[in-house]
Amino acid sequence: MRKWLNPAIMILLAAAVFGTVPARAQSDNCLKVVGTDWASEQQSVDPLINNNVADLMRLTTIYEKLVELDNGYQPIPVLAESWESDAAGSVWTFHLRKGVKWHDGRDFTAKDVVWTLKRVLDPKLESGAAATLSMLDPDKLEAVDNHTVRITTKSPTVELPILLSSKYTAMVPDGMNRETMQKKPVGTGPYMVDEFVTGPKFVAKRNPNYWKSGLPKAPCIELSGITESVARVAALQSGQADLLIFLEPSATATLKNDPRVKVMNSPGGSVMTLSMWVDTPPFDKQQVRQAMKLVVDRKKMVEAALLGIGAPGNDNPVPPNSPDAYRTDIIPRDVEKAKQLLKEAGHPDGLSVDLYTSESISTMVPIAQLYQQMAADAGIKVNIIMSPADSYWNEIWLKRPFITSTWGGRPTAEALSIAYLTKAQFPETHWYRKDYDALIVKANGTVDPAERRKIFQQAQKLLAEEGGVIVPAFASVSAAMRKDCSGYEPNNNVNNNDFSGFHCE
Amino acid sequence: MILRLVGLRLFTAALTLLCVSAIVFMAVEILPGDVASNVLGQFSSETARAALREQLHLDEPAIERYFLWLGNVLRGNLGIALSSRRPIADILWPRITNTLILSAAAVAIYIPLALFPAVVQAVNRNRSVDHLISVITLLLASIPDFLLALLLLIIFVVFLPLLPAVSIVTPSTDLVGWLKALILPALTLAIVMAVYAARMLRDNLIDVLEAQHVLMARLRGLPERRVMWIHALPNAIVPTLNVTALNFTYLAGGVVIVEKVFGFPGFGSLMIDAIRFRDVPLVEITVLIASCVYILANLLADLAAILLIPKLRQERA
Repeated sequence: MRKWLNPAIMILLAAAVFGTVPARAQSDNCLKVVGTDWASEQQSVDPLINNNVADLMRLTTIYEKLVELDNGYQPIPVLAESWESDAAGSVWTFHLRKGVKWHDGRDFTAKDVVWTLKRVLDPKLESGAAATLSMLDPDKLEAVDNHTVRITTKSPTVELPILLSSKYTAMVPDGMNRETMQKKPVGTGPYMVDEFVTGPKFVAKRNPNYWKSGLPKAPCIELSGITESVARVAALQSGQADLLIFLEPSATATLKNDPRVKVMNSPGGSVMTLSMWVDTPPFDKQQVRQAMKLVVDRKKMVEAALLGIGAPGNDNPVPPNSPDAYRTDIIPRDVEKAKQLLKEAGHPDGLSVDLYTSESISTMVPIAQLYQQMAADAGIKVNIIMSPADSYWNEIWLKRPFITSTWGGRPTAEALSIAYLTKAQFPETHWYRKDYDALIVKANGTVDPAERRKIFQQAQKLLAEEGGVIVPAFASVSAAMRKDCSGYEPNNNVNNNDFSGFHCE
Repeated sequence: MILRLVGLRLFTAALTLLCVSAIVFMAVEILPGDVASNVLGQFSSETARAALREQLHLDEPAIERYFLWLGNVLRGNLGIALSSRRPIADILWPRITNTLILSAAAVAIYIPLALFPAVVQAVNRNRSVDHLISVITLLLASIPDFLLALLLLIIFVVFLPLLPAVSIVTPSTDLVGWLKALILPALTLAIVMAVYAARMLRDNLIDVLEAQHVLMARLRGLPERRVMWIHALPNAIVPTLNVTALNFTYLAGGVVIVEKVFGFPGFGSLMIDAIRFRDVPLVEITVLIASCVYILANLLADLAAILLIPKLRQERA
């Protein structure tokens, strides 16, 4: 008898623990959205501080912007219903959506827009958008009436609506400062909180006054992050998570064939780059740069390095399927021509270069490795130098002449400017070319869209054929949800995460 | 005499700790990457970075900052975390409590996990059960902890969907929630610790079972179970206590990996986050505490050895 007792107690105990767990841990009806990361202390509810995936997720449930970007990087109305500018593009009028309420019940008005933009421009608040919006003058933001804002820019800015889709320009109520926000953030977004506490999860309840009628459908949303990829995938497969965002290609490949799960990929996405300094040997010779571009088999890059989840690129940050692209076909691989160019540049026996990369962004490493193999065929020996992930962007990026990098998908004007203008804040390729700068300035001042597109195409051609950037591929932004969920789509623009329509049966 | 020995050990431990505090401070100084740009993000402006550096006194000499910091820590003023601007003490306590609970759970699983296989093996020496368990423990001993964690995760979350994939606990988590959250991380830690102890205990048990006093007990007609649990096991356990104490030092580090894999909001994951986000004051304190635990566990292991093996006492003194 006693012999049986111990196993019996253990089985009972186990049953007590396991038995209470249904297939889906449904203690509440919260939607469970899981990201790739969760900073335990650095948690922001101020749109001006938006440093990591967790911040981005949290801030997009609470706050909304005037405009959002679609997959083609065109502005779509959110809190602004429509907008227009004068012929020069320097006096802009935004017409705000009526009937939008803040979480505390107040009406959303023009004053709130003026306050928000003044905060963005305030140097003391260290906003990430202060530089990109430097053409705004804090004294020339004007609330014409309750639902009209007039903005007069220092210089013509044809793409102001696009710039206002930045993740830092989410609207906050008039008078709200960082201290009050940190206790109780107030936005117009689909979900709201009574009090903000730092913790391993962020739980917010439905905003009953949300302006999109009938949304959100779920009573609450729970955001968290799982760093470990296996655990993250397992959470979705076992029904403990409803939606995973920002999946890496390997996880997408695992989940693709799981009948319990739907995997979604955005059509374009992040720009994967291999960047050379055009003023540093051996990359200072144009033939060398061209040879290094010609060795790339772009389709194979997508298949092997991104596991098919992406699209090939043409050595500039505008995707070939964009209406703005300078060419829609893919640059073919030509090893013989690459060898020929190397010979002309004085490297008849090939050359050896150091390529810095890191696990900091998981897709950079396979791209570097595949590039190494492709380049070897033309006699270019690429030595891959792996650098620690956490210091890569401070110690290697912008500090070594040949590196891998990644840029989030951006509108054409911004994509061509952010790293490639002479005065660019992040001169990844040391591409200081007056003729290129002139093209971008000219395009930015051109109001006619067709004309502007033509100038952007000239700039792309120049960058692709003579510049220091190799863009072998664009990595899709991927997400996966349980089969019976719907209402969320990953966007090319990683900053656009609309959870308002997401729901599960 | 023993007291003097213990006192000496405590003194060296304190000295070690002081050295560690200096090394930690220096290590944080030479970590690659600029503190300001790590805190403010890749796209922050240079003016913002300069302002933060000034606020943190990063321009002053390191040696001055070290003594200032050390003085504050000794007075119990742990400082303010860079990232959240919250007092470090407030951040630490819930995390430390969580980790202590996890460690306690791990130890609770560890003890039977080490005892039972060893006893079964010793009783069935050189039979197939013995060999089978030996192979299993050897196999488990050769799997690194993070891989073991992932294997358990795949088994108990994907194939047998019984347990949560992440062990997130919040102040509102109830007892059942806590139990579910603890099982996988605690089991991982317990297995890693138990495999060595079980193997050692088996060999000790086999020796003891052949000792005179056990033979005597058997001759007196005591039931075999009583012989095993009362007469043999306690004697076999003594030499493994040292292993157990060393296992606790493993726990101090293993918990970091396991917490990270399972997303358990404990001390280990706090330390990793602090390092990742260059939250300098938090890194210094967490690493210092981790070293403290490590040194203390080693001290206990030493003392246990000294107290249990009288020979060491004389030779050292």
